[in-house]
Amino acid sequence: MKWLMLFVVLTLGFLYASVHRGEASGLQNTEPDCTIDAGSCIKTVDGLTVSVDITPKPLKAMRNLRFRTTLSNKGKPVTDASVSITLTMPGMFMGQNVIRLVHVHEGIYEGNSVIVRCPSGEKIWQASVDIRQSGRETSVNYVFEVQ
Amino acid sequence: MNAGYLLALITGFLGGFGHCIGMCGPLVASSSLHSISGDGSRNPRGPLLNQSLYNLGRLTTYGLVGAIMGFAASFVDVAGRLMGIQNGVIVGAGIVMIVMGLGITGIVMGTGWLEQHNLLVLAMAKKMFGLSSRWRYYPLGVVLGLMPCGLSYTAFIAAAGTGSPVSGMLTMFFFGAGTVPALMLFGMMVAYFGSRTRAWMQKTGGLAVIVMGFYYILKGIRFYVEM
Repeated sequence: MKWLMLFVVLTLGFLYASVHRGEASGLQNTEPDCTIDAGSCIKTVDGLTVSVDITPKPLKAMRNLRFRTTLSNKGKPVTDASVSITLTMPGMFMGQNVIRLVHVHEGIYEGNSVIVRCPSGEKIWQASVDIRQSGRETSVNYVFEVQ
Repeated sequence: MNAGYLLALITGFLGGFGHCIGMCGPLVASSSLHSISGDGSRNPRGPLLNQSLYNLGRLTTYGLVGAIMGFAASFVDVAGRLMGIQNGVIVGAGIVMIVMGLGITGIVMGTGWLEQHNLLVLAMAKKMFGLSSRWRYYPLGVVLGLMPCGLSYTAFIAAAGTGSPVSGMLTMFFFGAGTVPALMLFGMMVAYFGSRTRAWMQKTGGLAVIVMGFYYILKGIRFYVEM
């Protein structure tokens, strides 16, 4: 009987740890605040309006993607910033995928990369847009789901 | 050291504790329990050598795939070709775990039952683990290095970004080396406690390994369906 009980406890422990490994490692599940499949997501921080879009849609993991950020300050395009996007997964440590964007036109910055798929089934990603301009650093986070 | 290699090493190290133990822990525990179940050895060098060979196998695969990624300078092209293989690997890993679990519990001691029932893959896995040579853990690491893994995908993107086979290989080598301490430590702990527990507890662990083997197979099928 004790043999069977320990077996059940161990199995449940393995399965629980497998399902909740993100929480167990101290990471928090974050709810999406950006429906990227519906269009670009816009936030304003310190007077800087930052828009993010990823194409092609619908957004899918393991595909070549185009990342686009549009910056403006009080309606004027910001053309002299250094911009990068760092992709991380809030629910699980997946390392950091840093994408350098280049200025292409009137405050629009673009770069290419891939959002990877995790066999665990986690689908929530965070894109942190890091902007450096005139010695000032601004970081804006977007949380979204990828199929 | 190149900043990219250092970043890969740190990513591997942090990911080893934060990601790999959760995702690959059951597999490492299986091989550790299996390595001590055969002779009941309490010699710490046995599991250490087995785990070292297993990790060396993983590093070999990481380096090779990193070189290909660097040469192709494209993650998606190479990963797309690897996906079918990777689904097979994760299902194969589940089968290997079931075989190891059967060996640990003592339910199947010989290959006769498996061969009689024509379970070719199971019979091959059982034969591999029936070998006395410790070197069997190296090919196991080589094959399981191909397991689909989101963390290693992130490192592969960096390897592809180098645009050079040598740099791609080194990026993945440093990433893989970073993951070794966590997995080695975990494997050694399982072996240490496993060798000091009673036989019935080891058998219980073996049953849990069998269940996790089925879980890996389901995970492989789900990953295939989502592709």
